[in-house]
Amino acid sequence: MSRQIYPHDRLADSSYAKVAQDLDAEAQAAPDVARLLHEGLASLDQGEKKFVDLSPQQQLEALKRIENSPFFQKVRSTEVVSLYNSPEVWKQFGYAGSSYEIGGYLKHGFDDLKWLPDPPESASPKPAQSSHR
Amino acid sequence: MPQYDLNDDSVILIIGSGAGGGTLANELCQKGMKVVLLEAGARQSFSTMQNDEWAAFQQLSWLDKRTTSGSWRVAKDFPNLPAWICKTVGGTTVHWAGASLRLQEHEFKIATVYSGISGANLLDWPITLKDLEPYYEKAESKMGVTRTNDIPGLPGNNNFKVLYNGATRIGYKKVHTGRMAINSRPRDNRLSCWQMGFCFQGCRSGAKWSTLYTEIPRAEATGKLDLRPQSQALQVQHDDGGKVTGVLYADKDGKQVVQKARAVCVACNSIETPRLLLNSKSSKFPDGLANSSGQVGRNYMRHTTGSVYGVFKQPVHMDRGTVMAGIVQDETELNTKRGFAGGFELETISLHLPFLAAFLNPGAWGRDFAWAMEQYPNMAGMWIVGEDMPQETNRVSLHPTEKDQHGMPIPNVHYDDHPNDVAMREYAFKKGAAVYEAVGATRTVAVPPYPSTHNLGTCRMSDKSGNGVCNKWGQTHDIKNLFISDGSQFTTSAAENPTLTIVTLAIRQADYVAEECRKQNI
Repeated sequence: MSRQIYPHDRLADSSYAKVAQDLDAEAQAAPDVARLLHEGLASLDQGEKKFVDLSPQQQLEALKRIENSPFFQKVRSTEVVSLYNSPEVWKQFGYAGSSYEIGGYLKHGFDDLKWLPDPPESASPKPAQSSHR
Repeated sequence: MPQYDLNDDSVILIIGSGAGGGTLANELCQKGMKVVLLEAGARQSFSTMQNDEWAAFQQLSWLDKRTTSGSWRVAKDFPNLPAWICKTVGGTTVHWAGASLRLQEHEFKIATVYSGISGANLLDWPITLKDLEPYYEKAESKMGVTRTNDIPGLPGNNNFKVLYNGATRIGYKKVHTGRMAINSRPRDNRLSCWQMGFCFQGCRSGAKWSTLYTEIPRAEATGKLDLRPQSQALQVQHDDGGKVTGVLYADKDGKQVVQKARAVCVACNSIETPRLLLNSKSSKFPDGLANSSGQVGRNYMRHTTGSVYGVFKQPVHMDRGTVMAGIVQDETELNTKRGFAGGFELETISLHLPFLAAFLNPGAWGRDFAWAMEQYPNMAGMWIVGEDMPQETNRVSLHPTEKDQHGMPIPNVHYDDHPNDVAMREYAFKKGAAVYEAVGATRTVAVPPYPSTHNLGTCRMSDKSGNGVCNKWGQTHDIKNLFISDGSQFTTSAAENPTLTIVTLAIRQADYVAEECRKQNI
């Protein structure tokens, strides 16, 4: 289900499994969340086939039908945080995360864009030589 | 650090340690006055700040429950998060991006100057730009604003390069890396900017000005400041004569205590300040403190705002470097030929991957959204900051039934766009898209307003006591030893980020408070 909500072919199943783990943890702490997820998943399996046995297109349609439900919103709102907040996923998206450890981007390409001309110095002055006192 | 006795009624009690309260505290301590500074949040430091959006959000933000109402998108997308502001020592100066602009002369008198705006509660400030100029100078020097005081502008990052090229190609002329309270050279015992890109999460180098590591330590060094973190104000108390006598607050152990005071200065940002005054109602003041005008909580403004992101064929890495050192100022003038009154700035903005997922298109899912997220390294972003109209019905009020952990009614924030706001936003969205299309954007995304980071106007300054809450010094009309010391004072929202003006007003208010105390008027 989580693969359908934010489908990224480049991401391994393990990235999506993390979403399930986070939902699990929440369910363990809150019985009403557990019930919501349990009943929601059960409702996806109604009909001739179980959700996992549906074609991707059918799965998408099944989710579209319930996209305003509390169950879907719970999974989606957890996933939007959980999926995009992991260093493994960041690597796949070309995003590096924290920069404090390398002293920021001052010497690591903060202004390395070359496909447009550099602004004049009146608009964008040169950086200081050193950041120390 | 001194620990003033709870019964010491000779202290000035300031509530909130941000741009207003933190600055006011330092200014008064430098004049030798005794100050108790209550701050609801905890005290962070360079070593506890994190280059991590969600972790920093949890660490620094005001997360006590709030509700929203009205037709604004925030009520639909973020019903319990009307604002992204702080509960931490230093207030929202820990989170802010550093943009430091003076208000324009005409923005102090929109009732006189703007015409044809119906259904709005326009009012002129009881002060002019000229009144504030000496104090703007002091604030710019205090904060180290680039392009003032011989301080060079910051170097532009990739996000700025895209903005600059696009903006100039469509004819904009006033495009540069902004007036920023971020050191471009070491200054004031603080390092210069490392271009980390986590301005919003607390600046770990200290290059960005924040009261946390400037005003507050300086106030402490005078020996006059008693800072009490994790102390949440609940009610301002008064005597039978209507004079304020002190503040009931929950201390760090949750115990409710009263600190007496000679005067109380409220600087809790524009949601908590009116909430505190309303929650302080009594038999003498059944509508809340300082509310004879009925304007406490009203005229809430959050700027005409919104963002535009552009997707390009080549990398930008907008997150690398300052979040907001980039500006287009051509649209700030009054020019009603565009179809609206007031003006707006276009400023670079960036979000990291986690927050872009949450805010690019709240609620969206599926292939199209996932595709957009995959373009992250090739995205540039800008933020619209425009003047929104004050409306009486846009207001902070007490929730009729819900209470917080201390038993105090929680705030509700109601907001509807004024037609002028909508016209400005639509125009600004089109211009923003045009900027990015001029340099090859394959796609642009117009993002509706986030939870408000600019919150203004809810205890506004006025000439007469009937249509505002405080006078030209921020002193409430009704109670002379009760002051408003934050952005709640703003009579108009203007087209500029508010922090510089909040600091400016605090420096000026400190002069007045000190003088009134000297004369024994307070």
